[in-house]
Parts: sequence; C-alpha cells; structure tokens
Amino acid sequence: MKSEEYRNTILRVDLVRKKYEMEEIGLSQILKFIGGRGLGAKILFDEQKPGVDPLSPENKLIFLAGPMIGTGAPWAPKYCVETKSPLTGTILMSLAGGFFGARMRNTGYDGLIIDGRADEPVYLWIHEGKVEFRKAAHLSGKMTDDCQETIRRDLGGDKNIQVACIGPAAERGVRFASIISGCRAVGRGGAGLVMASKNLQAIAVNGTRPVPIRQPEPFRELQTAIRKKARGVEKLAMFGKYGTPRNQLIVNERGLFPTRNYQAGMFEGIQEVSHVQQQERLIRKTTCHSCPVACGNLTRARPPYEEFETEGPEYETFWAFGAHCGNTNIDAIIAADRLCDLFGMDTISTGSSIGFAMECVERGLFSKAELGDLDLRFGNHPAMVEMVRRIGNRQGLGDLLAEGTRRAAEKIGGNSIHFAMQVKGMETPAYDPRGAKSMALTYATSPRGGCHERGLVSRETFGAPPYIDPLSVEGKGAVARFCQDRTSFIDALGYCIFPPNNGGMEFTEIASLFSYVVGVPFTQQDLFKTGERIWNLERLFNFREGLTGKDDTLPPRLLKEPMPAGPAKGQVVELDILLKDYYQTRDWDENGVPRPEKLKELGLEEEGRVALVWEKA
Amino acid sequence: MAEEMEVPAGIPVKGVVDLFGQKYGEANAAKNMEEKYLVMLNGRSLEKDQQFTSTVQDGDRITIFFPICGG
Repeated sequence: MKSEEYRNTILRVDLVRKKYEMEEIGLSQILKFIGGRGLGAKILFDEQKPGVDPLSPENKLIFLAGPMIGTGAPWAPKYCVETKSPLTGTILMSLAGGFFGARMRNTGYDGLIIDGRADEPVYLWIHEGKVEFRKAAHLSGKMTDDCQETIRRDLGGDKNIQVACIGPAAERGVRFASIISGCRAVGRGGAGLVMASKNLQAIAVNGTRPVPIRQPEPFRELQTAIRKKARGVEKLAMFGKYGTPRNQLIVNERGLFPTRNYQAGMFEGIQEVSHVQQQERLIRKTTCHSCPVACGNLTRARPPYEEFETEGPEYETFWAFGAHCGNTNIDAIIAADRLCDLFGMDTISTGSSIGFAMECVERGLFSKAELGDLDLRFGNHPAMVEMVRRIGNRQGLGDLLAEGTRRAAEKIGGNSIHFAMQVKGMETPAYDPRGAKSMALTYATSPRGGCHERGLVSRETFGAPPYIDPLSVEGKGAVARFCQDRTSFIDALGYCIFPPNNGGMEFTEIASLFSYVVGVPFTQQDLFKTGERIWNLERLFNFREGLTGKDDTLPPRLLKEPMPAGPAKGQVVELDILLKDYYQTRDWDENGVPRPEKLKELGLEEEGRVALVWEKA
Repeated sequence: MAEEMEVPAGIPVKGVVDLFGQKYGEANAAKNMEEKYLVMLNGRSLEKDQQFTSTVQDGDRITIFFPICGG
C-alpha cells in the first residue's frame, strides 16, 4: 500500500482479553465496498463462521462510519452497526444519525470490530487514539439518558463526548433492543441485544483528529456549492420545517397507511395525530451532524403524558403507535416514543408487536390470565403505553411480545401467523404494499427482513414525480432494484437518505465528493455498481446462513386478504409475478440465486462459491 | 398540510390548483404543479398531463400537498 493512499483505520477489540489492536483497510477494499454498510458486510462475511448464534461471543459487533462522515459534507451523519440479528437470524445493518459517527472518526478510528464477551459489564472509552476498558456494573439497569449522562460525568463532563449505549430492554433480552446515542437509535433488528450479550454497556468517544480528505480544495468548493444550491430547494425547506411526520397524510390519502395491524389502508383518525398536532407541541428543531436541513422535532407531550419530551416522533413511530394501534392520542405516541428510547427498543417493532397483540385480543386469542389487568384493545392508549413498559421489562404479556411477532405468533397459534406482520422475523413498517407493489419487493427481498429503508420507493409511497402507477406490477422489479442499489451506496457512504433523493444533491455530485475524499476518480456508474455489489453480498451472507428464495415472502394477509377500501381497494400483492420480474432484472435464477456470471461481474466469485457451496452442504 | 376546498363540478384540475395557489399567494401555481405540489384525484397522483386534461366530477376528491420529500 502506498503511504499517500487513502485508507481506513479500524480498531479490533477483544472483550475477553480486554485487548485492542489497529488494522488498516486499504484503498482497493474501499473502492470496492466504499465503507460503512458495504465494508461491514464484507468483514462480517469474511470473518464470521456460518451458523453462529447471534447471542454467542462469536457473533461480531461492528461499528463503522462511512467515508463522508465528519468531512463537512452536508447530510452525512449516518454510522452503521453490522452484526447477525437475534430477531431474524439474517445479516443486520442498522444506521443512526446524530453525532456519534462523526465523533468516532475524530478519535482517529473509522470503525470498531468487537469480538467475544467480557467477563463483567464494561464500557469502552475511546479518545484521541487511546482505548480504555472501564467497569460498567454501576450502569446496569439505567435508562439510556441516565446511562449517557453518567458516563459523561465519569469522564469529566465534556459535552463533546458522544455515547452509544444499551438500555434495560437489551439487558432483559428484548429481541428488538436498540443502541441509543443522544435520542438517535440504531433501531432495527436487535443490535442492542447483541451488545448486551457481550457485556458491553456502552461506547464513549471523543476526539479532535481531522477526517482525511485527499483533495480538500475541490471537495470544499463542491460541498459549498451544494449547500448553497440546497437553500433554494423548496422540498428540502418543507422537509426541514415538518420532518418526516408530514408524510402520514400523504400515505394515508394514497390508501396505503396500515391501520389496526394492516386491517385497512386509511386511518379515520389521521387528522388528530398528524404533524399539525406535533407542531403545536414543538419545543425546538433538532439536527444531526453537518445537516443544513434540521428535520428533527423536539416535542413535549401534554397531559396526561406531560412528563415525556422526545426528539421525534418520526413518521414510522407516529404510525406504529398511531394508526397501527388505532390510537388517536398524539401525546400517547410521544410517550411511547420516549419510553422506547429510554428502554432502548425499536419503535417500529415495539408498536407493531402491540398492534398485533391488539388484533389477537380482538380475536379472543389471549386468555384473561395472559392479559392480566390490561384491556389491550385497539385505541386504548393508556394500555398501549403501559405495554411499552412491560415489553421493556419483559413483564406479563410483554415478555411474549419482546420476542417479536413471528415468535409470538408461533406460540399463540390459532392462525395468528396470518396477521403477524413481519418478513423474515422483522416487523413490517408503515407502507402497505397492497397499495405500492414495488414496496412489496422491497419488504420481501430486504436482507434484514421487513424493512422500508433498504429501498424505499417514494414514487409509490408518496407519489413523488415522475408518476408511476403504484398498483401495477409491470416493471416493478427494475424500480425496486434501482431503489435498493441506490440506498446501498448511500448507506455505505454515510449519507442520510432524504436530501440526496430530493434535489439536495445529484448522484454525479455524490460521486465527485467521494472521489475527492479518496483521491481517485469514481463515477455515478461506479456508485450503482457498488450498491449492487453490496446487495448481492448481503444476500450471499443470508444464503450461507441457510436462507433461500423461499424466504422472499410476505405475511399471508398481504397475499390473500384484499384491501377493504380506499384507492387500493381489492388489491392483494401478486408476489409470484413481482418476484419473477425482480429476479430477472437482478440476473438471479428462478430460485433467487445470483448467477455465477453476475457474481463474476461484481467481483464476488469467491464469496459466491463459499456461500453457495455451503448451502448445498 | 392537506387542504380541503369546495370546487364546482366540471372545473379542470389545473383550475383547482390555481385556486389553491391563489389562496397562498402563488401567482403561477398551475405552471409549477409537477415540481411544487403533489396533486391527487381520489387518492391517486396525477401526472402533469393528467392535471391539465382531467376535470373534477361530482363526488371527486382532489388533494393537494405542498412539496413533498421522500426517501
């Protein structure tokens, strides 16, 4: 490796021996996988044996900050955590915004690969290139806000210290436990539970080391021009004003807003829990590192939930504790959001599990003994908020729901799997794919399960131009593929998904900025090719774990139960037709297996050979 | 925010957008429909051409949103 070449410095942490060492990732790997999500998938694929129990010491926990994070490029705050999910058994990559990713790079490290399990609770303190293993028994049981503040005090009180920690939910074994930094969550799939299984309570970072940029002058010129241009983009201005919650009204109007556990696609109470009510409760706007949009909303609830103040709720959380649970009390949504952050739980899976339980109650699938003192009907917001606490504490029915809807349905029986709204074990989010057929593919083929972030098709969900018919199945394979590949490289770079997709930046500008950072030319075509490579590698990881094309499916409700009303009335998901088209456009065979020629084109021949040989064995 | 407006039957969708724009001080709302507003007829988005050619019938629901931002 030439000394002037761009590289990443990764910290390897052995929790068993309480040792660490540095390792450099060279330019060739960075050009092939970019960083963040891409590099994490590569490391996990190469270093982790197939079949590892996600909660065993052998499961790696990888924190990575993509190459744009901390450079000053606008909208690049999103670090990622990569591991094998205890919720789904698949590869898991979860992202979070805020300030942790940039500060981690300021320590001199672009990422951490954490191995083993400590023999006692510890937290890591990484600052200016140094690493300390510190005792953490006093942090056990603390809510995430208290944990972060305690660590800051322990370390001298510097407000610049960023802490990513787990909460009580992870310690008690909630399968969708998250990692929290500030109020931002590495939310989905249970990375917090993996962290708890390692006896690792938190990671604290601080530093002032500059983030490398090989060609700083052209980089500065372009990023300044992008910031200037973005000020005139009206879509971004509106987004900054209201954030994601405004999309509720749009998705509802389009008839694909899942209501009462996907029993309908339009919520009659939407006007009571929209961004309008949130704005009435707004304390101030909040932002992530280097973001000129500032879409976050610090919101305070009103009685009877006035003790709760939260950064959010975001669109998905509004839905999970609103329409999904048939709830029209916005203050209860704010309370539920805050409780999830404090316990350290994914809001989508928590709300989705509660909505699922509410339908079980409606259908008489729980005994009085199982329900205890809770009247868990749709719309009963005090019961909903209390159930969030019980999931976090794994108490009563909350103990069952803490396993996620798939495992809960397997225990409940009675055809409840029909309406357990999950894919590969991960709860599906706030777009009903019966009214958005590309989104059916996004959910069915996402490497981590029922997830919108691995390829949101905003032309369908929000009606963003240019127009496509959301109900048609024609050509939807290509639409889904485009959105998946695009999201893959945006995630790997460390960008937030919103501004680059909404007039903030062109793909050519993203490619140029990345070129200036690494010091070698990189084109828009290279970005999409890398996105495709990442997508295929994640699929190979899952195949090596024993998944097949048969796992590319959806909950029976979406396949068999026509949408009852609204613009998508009568629609089901024609998944066979959609998948056939999708596999063809991906150049995968009829079983969803990447063809050798495709893997060769992507430079993944060896990974393909390993994964597919393993599958046959 | 979604807007609800009473409009006479037979008016082109373009006209509805103009009325909406005037309410918010937009002189050329219809010209900017595709870029600036999301226009839906009975819950379905309208392409620019459709916005100019469609007319509102009794019972139709036109919904107009300020510029949207999606993932």
